[in-house]
Amino acid sequence: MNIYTRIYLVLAVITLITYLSGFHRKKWYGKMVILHLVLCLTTTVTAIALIKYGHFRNNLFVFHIATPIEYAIFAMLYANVIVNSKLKKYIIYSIPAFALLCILFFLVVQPLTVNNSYVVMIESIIMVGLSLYFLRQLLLLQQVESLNSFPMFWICVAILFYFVGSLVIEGMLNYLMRHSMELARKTYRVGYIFKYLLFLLFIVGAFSSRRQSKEAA
Amino acid sequence: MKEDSSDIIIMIVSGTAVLLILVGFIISFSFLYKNRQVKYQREMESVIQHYNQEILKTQLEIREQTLKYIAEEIHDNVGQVLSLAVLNLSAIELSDTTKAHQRIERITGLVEKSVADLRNLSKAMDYENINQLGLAAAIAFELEMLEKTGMYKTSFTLSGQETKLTGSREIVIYRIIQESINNVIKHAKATTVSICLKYSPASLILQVIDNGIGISDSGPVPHEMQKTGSGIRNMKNRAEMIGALLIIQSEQGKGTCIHLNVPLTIDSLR
Repeated sequence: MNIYTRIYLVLAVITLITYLSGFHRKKWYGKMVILHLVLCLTTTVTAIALIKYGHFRNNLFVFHIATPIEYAIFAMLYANVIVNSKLKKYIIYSIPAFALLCILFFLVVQPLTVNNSYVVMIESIIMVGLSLYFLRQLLLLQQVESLNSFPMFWICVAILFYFVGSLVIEGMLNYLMRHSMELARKTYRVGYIFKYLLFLLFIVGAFSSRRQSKEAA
Repeated sequence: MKEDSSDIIIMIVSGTAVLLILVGFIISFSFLYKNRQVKYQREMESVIQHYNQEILKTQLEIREQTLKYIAEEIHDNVGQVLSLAVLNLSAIELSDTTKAHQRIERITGLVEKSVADLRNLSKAMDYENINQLGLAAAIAFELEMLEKTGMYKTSFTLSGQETKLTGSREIVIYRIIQESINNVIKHAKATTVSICLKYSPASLILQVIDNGIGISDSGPVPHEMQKTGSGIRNMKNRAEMIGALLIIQSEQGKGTCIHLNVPLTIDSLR
């Protein structure tokens, strides 16, 4: 296990503890973040264990399974906070549609032994779109007194940056892998920055809601 | 080892770049949000100010109408009766006790009538009375005044449980009714006026119906009708201000029905 993965796991555990210990585990966004963190930890630990103890030569199928679950979690999160009822409906319908798309892609385009970059890119585009839509909604509806103490703002920014990074890196990765494995490896590692940022912003969101609850009290 | 250090440099440089972009994004978004918040608050303040001004104008109009009614009553009714009493008093001849007694009795009757009229005048509706007595009582009083002129037959139907409306909405509704009755008096040439007030859990429905000449859609608008036009516009604006819907149904020669639907779920600004 390299240093980047270790930092990733430590940050994921710290974020999980922050959310489990706070009152936000009862809130919808808190539940979704906890679910995502559990998914991240399970996926990473399983992928490492398969190589280390299971003597598997390829663990990429774990990520093929995790992608539609991750999409479902974030889609449910946005479906609950977006006001537009039509878009809400589309987001909910998109969950099984995306799962079907994942199956179709691994059957036809990128099998389980190959990095599922196309599906991840589609997921990233949708999530970036939803994040931007939610930020626009925040701006137009003006329902929040202070943006800094609104956890969904931080969670949304976290998702936005994570998926923008994911989109750029996954977009380059397949191309780079064909030309230079070394460059592809380096690019993949840069992707960890976005993962760290995701957890750090989740933590900021958790603390911002704590501040909000204190102010309310 | 060399490879590791180059990896770390790449990570630090890209990390810093991403962080800078993130900080820039958050600062710009917060700034944009704050700007919009200030703009929104200013807009809200101006809407509230406009609402308060309109309410004040409505209250003044109601007061003006009340004063006009009191002035007319004093001039046409109380004044005439008291003048008659004075005339009778000056004509008393004390030498003829029987005739004097009859005149005094007549004068007493006239003064009693004046006292009763003045007592009725004190009940004249002002916006404070509307708040105290409620909308139904205010409408009943308005129709009673109309009936007293002897030119109209009026009826008032109240159904449902009367609910007190929030803010100044009752005053606005009352003013709309007054404006409708004014239009009937000035332009409709009607003989009957009926008002229905229906309360339901979700809304208040008001109908002012007359059997007059109605409002014409086509043809040139006479000068006196132009005033009615602005009156109707005022009524519509006021209805909109309290979140209500005002519909005017009219056919030439078949009377007019003014329909006002006030949702009870919307809170007034005040």
